Amino acid sequence: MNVAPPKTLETGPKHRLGDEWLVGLASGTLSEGEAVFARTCLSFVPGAAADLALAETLGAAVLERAPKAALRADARASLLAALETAQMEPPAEKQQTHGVQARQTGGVMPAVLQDYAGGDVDRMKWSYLGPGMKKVRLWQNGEGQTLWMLRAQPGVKIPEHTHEGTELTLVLKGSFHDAFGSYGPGDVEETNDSHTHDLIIDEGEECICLALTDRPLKFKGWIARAMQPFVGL
Amino acid sequence: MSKMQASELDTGALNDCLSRIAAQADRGAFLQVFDHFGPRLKYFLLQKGCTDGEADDLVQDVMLTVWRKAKQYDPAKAAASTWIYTIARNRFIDAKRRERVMVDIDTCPEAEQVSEGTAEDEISQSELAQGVAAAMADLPAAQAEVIQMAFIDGKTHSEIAEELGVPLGTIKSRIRLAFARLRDVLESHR
Ligand SMILES: [Zn+2]
Ligand SMILES: [Zn+2]
Repeated sequence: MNVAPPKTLETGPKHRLGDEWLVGLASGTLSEGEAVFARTCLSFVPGAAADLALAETLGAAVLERAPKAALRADARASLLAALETAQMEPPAEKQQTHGVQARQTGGVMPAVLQDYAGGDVDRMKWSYLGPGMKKVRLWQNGEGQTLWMLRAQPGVKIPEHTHEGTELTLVLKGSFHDAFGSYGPGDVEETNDSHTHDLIIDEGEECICLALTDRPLKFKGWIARAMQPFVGL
Repeated sequence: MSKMQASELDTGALNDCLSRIAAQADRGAFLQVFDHFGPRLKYFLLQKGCTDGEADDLVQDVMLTVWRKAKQYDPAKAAASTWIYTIARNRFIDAKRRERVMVDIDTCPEAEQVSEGTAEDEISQSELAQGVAAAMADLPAAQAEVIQMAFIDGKTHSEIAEELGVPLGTIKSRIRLAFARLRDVLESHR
């Protein structure tokens, strides 16, 4: 049960996405990048599949309360005609995974992200971002919303910057800290246009993050601004 | 369910229809499901911006999927209404090609679990669905409005904020509050 997991099970990440993301996934209103990001975050959260199912049950309750719209006059007849050629599928032997899946061990990227990106971190085409930092872009839409990954060496400091929109960062491996807290695997940090932060990768191991940004980041200071062209996010 | 019309299918009747479709390819049962969901699905699709013709086609498509996959429906994993809802949502997304990579339109909701499943939860999905429906009916108006706009109108949280003229943070907190009530419903069914 989700409420009382066995003692040996982790209780999951301390910084999580809010429940509004479950509603976003269940209602199908997230962009592709947001959906990938949310599913990846949820793969670290025990009981997340049940939470998403709860949100879908809410969707069904809303649908049940929806007004009715008149279907075209021949709707019933054409549906019955279509049944003539429709093949019923056999019961599924093993249900395919839907929505949220277990993180699965053995790689840095959770299974859901590997499926999307076509492999784990060593299959990605990392490009230079700044000293000790690499990036790979996974997805971008016409409004500049971008899903990307950051790979940074231990001890790297990412200069102070602000965000025009929202930046969400999920730690996949390693850890970092900033003025707002410290973040390890499964933790999500949300920053927005009201804060400026600089971010320090903790010593010990490299840090790999999945990030979702609304707009390109804005760096402060001339050294940082000089980095801007490389960022290209 | 006080909000439902007399002629409506309740959760039990709906599950029963799906098992008759699965076991005997029962067309009468299928038409009952169609009469119940078809017009609501059409409303749902129209609200999301489909044209009249697209909505009719998608409703037919969703209903055919229900027929084809009826044997894969497992009442232990989801209420019938939830299963049909997710088929419709996925079909819609697929039609719009928004989440093409991530949406697995062939699956039933709630298949494999994260680290621990609902499998050991002795929880009736239809009872849960009824509890959720009741909780939905009891939500404060401001919360219900936001939930409706997300699910029925297919609006993003920012679009809802813009349309209602309130800050995005307020929209998020209304959704979180509404969802917290659902978690209470879930707990009370465990
Ligand atoms: Zn936090
Ligand atoms: Zn930042």
